[in-house]
Amino acid sequence: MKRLLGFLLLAAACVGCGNTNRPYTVAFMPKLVDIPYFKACQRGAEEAAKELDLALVYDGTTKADKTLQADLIKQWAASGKYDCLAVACNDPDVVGTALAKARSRGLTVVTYDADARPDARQFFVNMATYDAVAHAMVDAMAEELGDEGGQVGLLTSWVNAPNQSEWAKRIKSYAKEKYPRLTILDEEEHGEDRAAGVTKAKAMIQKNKELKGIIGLTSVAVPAAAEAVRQEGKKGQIKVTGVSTPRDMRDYLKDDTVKTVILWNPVDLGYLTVHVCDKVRKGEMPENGTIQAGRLKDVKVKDREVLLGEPMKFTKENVDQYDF
Amino acid sequence: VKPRLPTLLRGMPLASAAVILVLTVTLVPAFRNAAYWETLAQDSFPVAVLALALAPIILTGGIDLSVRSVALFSGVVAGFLFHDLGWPAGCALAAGIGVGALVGLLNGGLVSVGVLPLVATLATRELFRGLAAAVSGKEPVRGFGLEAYWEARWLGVPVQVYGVLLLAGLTYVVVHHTWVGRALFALGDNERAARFAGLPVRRLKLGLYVWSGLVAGLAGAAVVLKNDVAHPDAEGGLELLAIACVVLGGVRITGGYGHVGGVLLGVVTVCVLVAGLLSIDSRWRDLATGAVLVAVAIGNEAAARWATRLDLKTD
Repeated sequence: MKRLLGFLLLAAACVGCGNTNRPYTVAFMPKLVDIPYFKACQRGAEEAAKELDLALVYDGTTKADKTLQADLIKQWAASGKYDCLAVACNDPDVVGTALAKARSRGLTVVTYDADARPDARQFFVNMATYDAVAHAMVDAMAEELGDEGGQVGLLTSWVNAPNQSEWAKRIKSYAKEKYPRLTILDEEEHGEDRAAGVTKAKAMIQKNKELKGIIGLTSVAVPAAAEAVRQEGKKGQIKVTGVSTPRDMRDYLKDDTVKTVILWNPVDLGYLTVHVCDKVRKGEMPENGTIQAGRLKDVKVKDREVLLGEPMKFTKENVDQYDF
Repeated sequence: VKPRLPTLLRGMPLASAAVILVLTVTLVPAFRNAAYWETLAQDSFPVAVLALALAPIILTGGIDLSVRSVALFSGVVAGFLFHDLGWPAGCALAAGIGVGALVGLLNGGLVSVGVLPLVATLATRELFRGLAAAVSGKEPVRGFGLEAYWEARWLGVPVQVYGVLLLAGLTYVVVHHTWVGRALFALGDNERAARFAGLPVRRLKLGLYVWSGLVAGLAGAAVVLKNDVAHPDAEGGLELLAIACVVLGGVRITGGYGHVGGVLLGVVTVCVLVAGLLSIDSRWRDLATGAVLVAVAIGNEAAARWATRLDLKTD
């Protein structure tokens, strides 16, 4: 028994050692780990960390769950292992409260991809303005439908999710103003779950006889909607577009179930985020103005919001050039 | 007197809980940090009080799966009273707790007229989550301005710890030192016999579910304070975590056997284990959680069988 205890103490000591004199460490947290989109962000973040000689830890929750993420943030902040948190938030408030707590412990807090409430973080790295992304999605859908009108459904993760709720609002108002022939339906939720997304999209197709298109607001929603259209045998009759990754969408683009997918470059997003973390640390980050972030030149900053650029379009023709 | 081996074996659930606790705390470096414990103690308040309210129910062989939904619903109602009717935040939260008790009345009513607790509370679990979403609308209510209370300390220890200990003390006295407690065990052992013995089975059940509704309301108020927002969909899996605490604390899920002290140990163990496993790489986290729980289940079951066999031999 004594020997066992001794062994345990030794093991504990080994796990605990090497804590002194560590380099400046950035914890880079996705909404959930293990999906291609955030792995692409991770690659960019690692590239920047190497350039800037920072330590980077990529980790998070295995589910896109606001409470799990908030608890993890609070524990990381309390653990004393990190100097800076870069977080893609699952919820502006629940996660925001945890981030505010981390800030009060002296950590640098930067959000990327999805924002928390603004008082909870120092900077938000936005991939493209809400307006630009929402308009790109509606324009792509309207172009595919041509002069035809009809109902367009929205498939989202959660109605309250930070980006998705902002996009949905803008999709509705922009479509009303510019394409009155389109009727945008209220959002259906899939909870970042692919199978649930397919089920919801099928239900949407069966319930709304006038449905002409589905816009997916997450990287999981678009392939789920495309899969539902395929399974229901409605290819060509119901158009699908939205924000997703080339990797998730390659098959559906190749067989023409989907014509256009909207996204930005997530590798650049991760890269820019870590550069922003470094600039905050060095005190070189302006609240308004432009910054030079490594290979990304003249990046705009407005009211503590950093803008990566304009959204990109992926089609059958260019999808093979991207591997995220 | 030397304790008999079967008695020792029956203590196996508590022993495995204690082993997990000690191993996690020694192996995870973060636990050497006082701030880590404080955060954990604060954030574990909802699950701890729910486990303490569920323990007596599980002792009778019942279950309440609706506790998370009731907690969220009470929180959202409090948010509504605060934001839309302009009540002071404290009053709104107190009213939310009252709403929890009212909701418990529905659960208790269903169960005492003979609906299976699993069925009744599975139904109300959906019902109240839906109601929470409906009351909340599109924008959850935020800015209660009560952070100071959530962050409060007494003698350097977060107030949440005292709250849990107080509730545990109360539950302990009622369960192990009053006729109500004896009736609970009797009910869990054999409901028919309890009925024939003249115990007020219906009223007892009604009381239990009202109590768990009230405590769920308290947990809901705590979740609001913790997040500073009345969110209709926070704390995913809270009810299952609370049940895990009770079961890991040695309460038999079929009723009739268990101890409040064990439940408290179960709470600490589960919360520490979950927090400890957060510091390993996410790829292994779910696997590790599952593996630990399977190991505990096998160990406890083996010990229980061994004890029964020994008992049969000596009899």
